[in-house]
Amino acid sequence: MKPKTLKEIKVVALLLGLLLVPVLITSYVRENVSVQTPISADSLDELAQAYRKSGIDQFLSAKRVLKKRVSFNLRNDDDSKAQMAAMNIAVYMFPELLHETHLEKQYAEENFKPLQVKIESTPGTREAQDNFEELRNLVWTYENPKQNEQGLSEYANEMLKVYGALSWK
Amino acid sequence: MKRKYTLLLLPILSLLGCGLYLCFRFSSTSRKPHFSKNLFSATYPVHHRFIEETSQMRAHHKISPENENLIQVSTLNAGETLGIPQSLLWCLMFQESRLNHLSGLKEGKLSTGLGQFSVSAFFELNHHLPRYISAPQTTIASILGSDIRPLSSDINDTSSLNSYYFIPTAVTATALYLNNRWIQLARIADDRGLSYSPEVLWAWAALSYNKGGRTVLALWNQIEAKRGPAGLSSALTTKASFLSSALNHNLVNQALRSIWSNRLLAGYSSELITHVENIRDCALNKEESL
Repeated sequence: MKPKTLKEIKVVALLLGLLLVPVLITSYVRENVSVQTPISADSLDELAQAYRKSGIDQFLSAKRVLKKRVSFNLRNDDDSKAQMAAMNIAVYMFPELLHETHLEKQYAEENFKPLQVKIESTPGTREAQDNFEELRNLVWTYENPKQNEQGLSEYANEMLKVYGALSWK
Repeated sequence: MKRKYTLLLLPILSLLGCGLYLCFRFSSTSRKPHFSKNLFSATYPVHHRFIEETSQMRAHHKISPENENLIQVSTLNAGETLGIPQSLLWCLMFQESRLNHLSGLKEGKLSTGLGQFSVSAFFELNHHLPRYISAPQTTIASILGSDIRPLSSDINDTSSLNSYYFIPTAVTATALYLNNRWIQLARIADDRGLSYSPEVLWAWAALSYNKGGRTVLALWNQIEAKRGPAGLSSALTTKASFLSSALNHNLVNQALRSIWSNRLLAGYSSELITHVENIRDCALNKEESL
């Protein structure tokens, strides 16, 4: 190989390396900042938006990111509000993240989770709508069996909006 | 001769084996006592305020003797079949609708009838019973003579056997829904290895019936956080501990704060505590005898 070519390769490699370092650092920082962002019921609305704008793959990707945020905030003893929000989102979206002693874990895993997985696998179909109907009734029985004006908690409402969007689009 | 004895012994031993198997099977699956004589009163309502109220209802013809009798008989049938304390079932319906089987119909309310059934309760009875009991058809038939599902909420046909506004059906459906709440809580307690009294769990199931399973589990989580697993087991085992937990305003508020916004919290907490007081005064024995 000519010395000139070798020199060019080295320069290109150096330039690529210089470019890659900030990209990696930005990506790492972005992910960690995102994970450490406090969460609320609105975080669930972001999932519905992701589905409406970009479809199921983007929804599943946004859900994975939200799961990381919930996991971080569940252990965030410095912010009790975010911790409470994380607990509520975990009950309705990620029961596997709840501590083994949390008494809602088993119910949520056995009742909400399987129906959500089914809806995600066949969005926008009659089957998804039937599963959503079942999910909706289970949530009402769980939170407000009389279906009175008290309604549902904001987390239950947001979760149903997300899966309603997936079922009916 | 020996062969003759062997032939004679074989069927006897087989029968003995079957008997033992059934005995073990029955004892391991039927954890609910059939009729509580300790925690729940045999006569009801217990407190004079409810006795007075039922007398007033009779005097003002708010309930007919026929309907009252039908509710009583249906409560006995459903209670015995499902192992529900009769005083609890009767008092729950008294609290929900003042024994008016058409309650809420004229007003077009979302929850109606003796046990104040909503859409989700109808859905559970019509679609989810196998999640709770292994043979729903047989169970319902043993109370009502046949499986009456799908349970109907048609207000134009309130006298058919599958209508929730037909008293025997309403009582049976209410009992089944309450039974589901008991099973749901028992499974969670079993899974966590929490000891509990089946009788005390009925009182918790009545709260779950009225306020939802999430409210009860939030309260259990809070009890465990404050008093440890032993404290939670105690609240599931003794009447005194059940009442001291479910009537503790601070504990209830802290538990429900994790679910409801501040705007709704106060109302929800006070409703829950009133419900516990009513169950205590209507259905529970005055003396602690567990």
